[in-house]
Amino acid sequence: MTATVDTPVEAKPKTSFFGKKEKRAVLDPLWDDNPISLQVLGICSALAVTIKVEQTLFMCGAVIFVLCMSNVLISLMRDLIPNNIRIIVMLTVISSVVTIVSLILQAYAFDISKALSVFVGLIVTNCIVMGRAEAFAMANRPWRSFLDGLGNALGYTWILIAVAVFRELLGDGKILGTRLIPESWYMDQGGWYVNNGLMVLAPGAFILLGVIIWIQRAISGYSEDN
Amino acid sequence: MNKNSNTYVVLFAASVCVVLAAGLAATFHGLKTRIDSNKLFDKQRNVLIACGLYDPTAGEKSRADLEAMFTKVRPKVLEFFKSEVEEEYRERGERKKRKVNKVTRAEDSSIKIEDLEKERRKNPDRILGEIYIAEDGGKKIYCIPISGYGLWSWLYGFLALEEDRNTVRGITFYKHGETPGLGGEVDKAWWQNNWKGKKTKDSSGKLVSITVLKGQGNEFAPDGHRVDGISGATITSNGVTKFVKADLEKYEAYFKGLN
Repeated sequence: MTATVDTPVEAKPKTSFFGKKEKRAVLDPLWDDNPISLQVLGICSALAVTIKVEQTLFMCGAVIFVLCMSNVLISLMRDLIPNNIRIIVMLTVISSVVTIVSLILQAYAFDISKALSVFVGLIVTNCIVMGRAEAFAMANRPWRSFLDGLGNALGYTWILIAVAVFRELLGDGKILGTRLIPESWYMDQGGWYVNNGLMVLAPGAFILLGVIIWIQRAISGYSEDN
Repeated sequence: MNKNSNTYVVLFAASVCVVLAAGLAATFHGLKTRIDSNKLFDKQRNVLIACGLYDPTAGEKSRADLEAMFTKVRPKVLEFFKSEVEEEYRERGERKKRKVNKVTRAEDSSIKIEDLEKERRKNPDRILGEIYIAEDGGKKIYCIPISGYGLWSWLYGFLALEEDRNTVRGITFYKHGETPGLGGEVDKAWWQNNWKGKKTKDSSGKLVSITVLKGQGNEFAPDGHRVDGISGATITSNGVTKFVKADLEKYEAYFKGLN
């Protein structure tokens, strides 16, 4: 007779910490429901800050922080937020978190904050952040919202890094500032190689991103018609 | 309380604002000294770049190295005074004269460079400005601040002149909010390099400044006084032309007193 009481009590802590749903919240956005390649959100910054890998890493760090923080804060407030001003409240929370990130960057990574210029501030308008707040954090508990934010931010991160690696390598011959294509290969050193200037410009990123989305969708079997 | 009643909505919005504003203020206050010191260092770094003493594209130097280099640069605060002068201008092809208030005199001020901003706030009517005097190979370099409006934002930078106070040694911009990739290119070396060696005065010694124009072969500004503009950034370029001229005119009051 105790068994009927015990089962739900025992099952509860398991699912609420890292159960199937939590795992899905983190893993789905990495591949099956990737915010960039499947939902095609957050493209603006994917084009703008992927010229160099270092810049991209800081940008992605900022997005991870903002997405997790805003999701947790909004999830904590979700029962208090009046429905008719929820979008404004979300925006206020998101922009406060973004301002804090921007201040931290200015204090501890000034050069990077200058290189990222307006794009840190523009995380506010990144559709992924707002989208997760509205679609997930408003209806889920803080821990799960945190994992969802982390998953989506990581899904954004890996695509951006993939784009940045190709852009820096093909456009500049380097990765993270380390030269990978030897100087002696270059035309002006008597070699045969020329950097692809297109990669440094936004259209290069657009083409790369298109190719990555194509490959990712081909493997994951996603189709617009479904 | 009903979550959709007006009172609740107003109270909720107000408290969200108060809490978030407090959080932001606390963060800002906590990081302020660090951010300020970063900004000051960035300015000093840009003075060195404008003076041609440091070229980041040829190899980055550490902060300590640059700060040591900057100790050799002599910053000075100047005070400018205006007076009425007659100026010739053209209206529909006709030459006319008018009286304008212009900076005509400059004096060394006893204000220290660290107190410049404070002093400016205290006495907004006084015209104060800094100048950085550096030396390279026994020759003096004069580095003046330039600032003004571009398309979206106020741009801040430095313009360094050779000892003759005529030839441009370098230009940099350390703060602006222009569109990245368009007007934002003003802070890139490829564009700044176009300024090197340009003349601010004509053969008679009259200040003509430097014009940013479309096309390298543009005929509208005399040779040696024009810089190729940035595609897609006409308004920023026009802004730069305007404020560089204004700042050069202001500092000319100081330069003509030097010998």
